[in-house]
Amino acid sequence: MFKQANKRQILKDVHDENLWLVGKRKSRRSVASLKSSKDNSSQRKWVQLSPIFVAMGGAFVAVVVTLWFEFSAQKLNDSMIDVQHSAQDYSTGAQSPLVYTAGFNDLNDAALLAPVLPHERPVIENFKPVSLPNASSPSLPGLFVDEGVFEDLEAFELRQATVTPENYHALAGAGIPLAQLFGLNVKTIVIDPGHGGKDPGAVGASVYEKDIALDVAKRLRDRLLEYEGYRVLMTREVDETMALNDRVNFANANSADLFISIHVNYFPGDQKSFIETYYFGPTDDSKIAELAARENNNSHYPYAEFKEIILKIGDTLKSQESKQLAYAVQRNLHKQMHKIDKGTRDHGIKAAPFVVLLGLDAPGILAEVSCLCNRDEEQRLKTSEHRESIASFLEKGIVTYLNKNTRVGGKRNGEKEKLAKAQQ
Amino acid sequence: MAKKKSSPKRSSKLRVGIDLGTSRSAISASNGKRKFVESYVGWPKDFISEKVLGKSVLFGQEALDNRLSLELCRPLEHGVIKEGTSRDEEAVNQLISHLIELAEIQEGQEIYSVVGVPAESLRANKLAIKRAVEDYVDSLMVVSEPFAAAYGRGVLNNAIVIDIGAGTVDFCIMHGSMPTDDDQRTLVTAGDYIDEHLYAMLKEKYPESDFNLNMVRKFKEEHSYIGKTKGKIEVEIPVGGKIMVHDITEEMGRACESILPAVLEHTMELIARFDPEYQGLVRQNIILAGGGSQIKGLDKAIEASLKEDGLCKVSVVDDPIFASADGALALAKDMPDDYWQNMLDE
Ligand SMILES: Nc1ncnc2c1ncn2[C@@H]1O[C@H](COP(=O)(O)OP(=O)(O)O)[C@@H](O)[C@H]1O
Ligand SMILES: [Mg+2]
Ligand SMILES: [Zn+2]
Repeated sequence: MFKQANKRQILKDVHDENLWLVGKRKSRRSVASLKSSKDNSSQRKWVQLSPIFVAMGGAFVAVVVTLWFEFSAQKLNDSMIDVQHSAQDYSTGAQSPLVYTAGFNDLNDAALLAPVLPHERPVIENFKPVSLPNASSPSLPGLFVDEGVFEDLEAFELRQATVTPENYHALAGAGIPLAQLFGLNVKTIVIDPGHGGKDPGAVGASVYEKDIALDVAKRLRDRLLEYEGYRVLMTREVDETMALNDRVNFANANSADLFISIHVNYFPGDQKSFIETYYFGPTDDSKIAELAARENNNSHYPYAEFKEIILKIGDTLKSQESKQLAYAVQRNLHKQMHKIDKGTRDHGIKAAPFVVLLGLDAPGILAEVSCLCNRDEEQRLKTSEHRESIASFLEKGIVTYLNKNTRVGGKRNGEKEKLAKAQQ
Repeated sequence: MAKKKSSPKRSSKLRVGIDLGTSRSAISASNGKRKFVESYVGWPKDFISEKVLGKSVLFGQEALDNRLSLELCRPLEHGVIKEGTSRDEEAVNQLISHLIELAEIQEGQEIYSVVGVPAESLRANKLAIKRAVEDYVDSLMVVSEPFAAAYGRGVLNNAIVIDIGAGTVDFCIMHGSMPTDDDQRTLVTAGDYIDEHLYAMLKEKYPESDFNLNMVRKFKEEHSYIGKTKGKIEVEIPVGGKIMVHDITEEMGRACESILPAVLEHTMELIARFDPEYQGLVRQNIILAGGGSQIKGLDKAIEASLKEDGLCKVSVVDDPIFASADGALALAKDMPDDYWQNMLDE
């Protein structure tokens, strides 16, 4: 399985792995001096760099950079492991950017671009994974440079993924599918059936939360797969024990755009059913904290440690997105469940510190889609019709959210034609 | 400060190994110096505090002792540098400068460094680490802490290193080549987690007693154990101003044990990644590093739990504070000269 290698090889590997540290000696500067140089920014010529595109396929990463400044291609080449083709001139209006396409063996190496940019600050540092459509190359994941890292560079305008018909050709040279270039991304949706295996979750009179969650999840997956442009994955497809952080890792490793964790609620006693949806955030509510503790049961995270993390996360973009997603799902779900059982209460969307939502790179929610504390509802849950209905309610919520956030895509096959007809 | 200037004559080369840890950072240099500092950096909150303290930046225990007049930062708290917050980056930068100073490196010496960082940080923070270190060294390579520890011990093949630190437990398997991402795992249930857990249990048992997390950590560092312990563990804690003896035997055992299941789970999973032919060897070669490896009985507890599947041997590094820094230094020393030259841009 593993090759047996020698010390020399190990040293070489360490060295190679650290190639990204190439050539900074001349430009050594402290954080303080960087700050001061920003202050008299009139002397500094910031570069404009647009667009940056990074795409990855298998073990190969293609980075396409459009540099709006004069730059020695030689220097750029030196820093790269495997340059596919060097500078190529093309014209877009008044300016004449140089386009570099470079190949890397893995993503981290793409950060090699950093030292060659003239402001001496690493630029390509964080990558935000997105997905490419399966046009010619099946599920080739792509990556955009995260805008966040540019924040502290004044006068640094990054038009992220603004691809125009003019520069398309240059970019297409890198073999990146057209749809991606114009922002028609496939969305990767990860569905996470709560609990499983040794962990049954909530236990009703005759059903387990883990089984309902798995069944509804599968139905939801099948429904979402009927759409164009969604890649749908499940954290578990059988009744197996799975740690919460493994679920998170799975979603992150697959560059999920959305994460939906499906659960069934329980409160002691025969009660009215209620629906609620959670996104990650701090809570003062002791009941919610209790529920979180229950759902976090199988985690490897210490609760105390995360209280701190929760506060730090604050009102980030991700949590805003998650909140919107939670809202769309909760609204649809409750509306429909209320039709089935007039007694179903709407407990709304809530912030809660669920471990499973914490480590996600993507917006994520935890939906308590039904309630085992109501006898009638428990009976209904035993029928496949009801579980299918719940899946369809979730589907609507998710699609509503996705359509709000992407102009294109997310049309169900067949519906698209209908729509086209209607517009004629 | 030890900030490097463009010095006229480069007389000699110095190799250094640095372990940038969540709770402690250490340096081990080829001039024989070995130093460590708690990974805390504090800046005086205001001009008055600065006057009182007489310093513009404080480190380690000294920073902790003066925490009230400081803006205190523990930059690698969760095993990664929180980027974007320049405070954290600045703190790492200062920490490195402090370590270099502690190692009494002479002006004009060319410094080739290998820096060990938590595995997670290696994944997430390469460039931040580079920015923090590059001001003080001439050449730099970054590796994961457990790998550095393994290299230092000379175990390059068929082994698992488990580095139990404050913020993270880092696993690393050695199979004769440089470990990749896939060969490493990180858990966040580590030393700090034990502290929190113990603290919570003791608060419940002794609600009237007056103690804090720091005291609990000290109790742990003195009395930690898993399995059986001889006699009672008793500590002194004030209650309403009076010092009283408290029995914390059971709580100590339970808190220390709490990290065990996850450690076992990952260890077994990692053993299974080896070719079956070598798994027996790997089981004989499980190495505990980091401060948490000092928990009494931890090695035996792991052995006992794993022996169902066959014999195994767990050993503990001799000097957990310096294991990674020494390993990083060993790497730096073994690294051929031309590898370093490659990194200079002339
Ligand atoms: N004797 C001991 N028993 C149990 N834990 C210990 C002992 N000594 C130190 N520790 C713990 O080890 C952790 C620090 O380990 P270290 O390897 O220095 O961490 P890091 O690499 O994360 O900085 C702390 O949580 C500390 O309390
Ligand atoms: Mg350590
Ligand atoms: Zn649940």
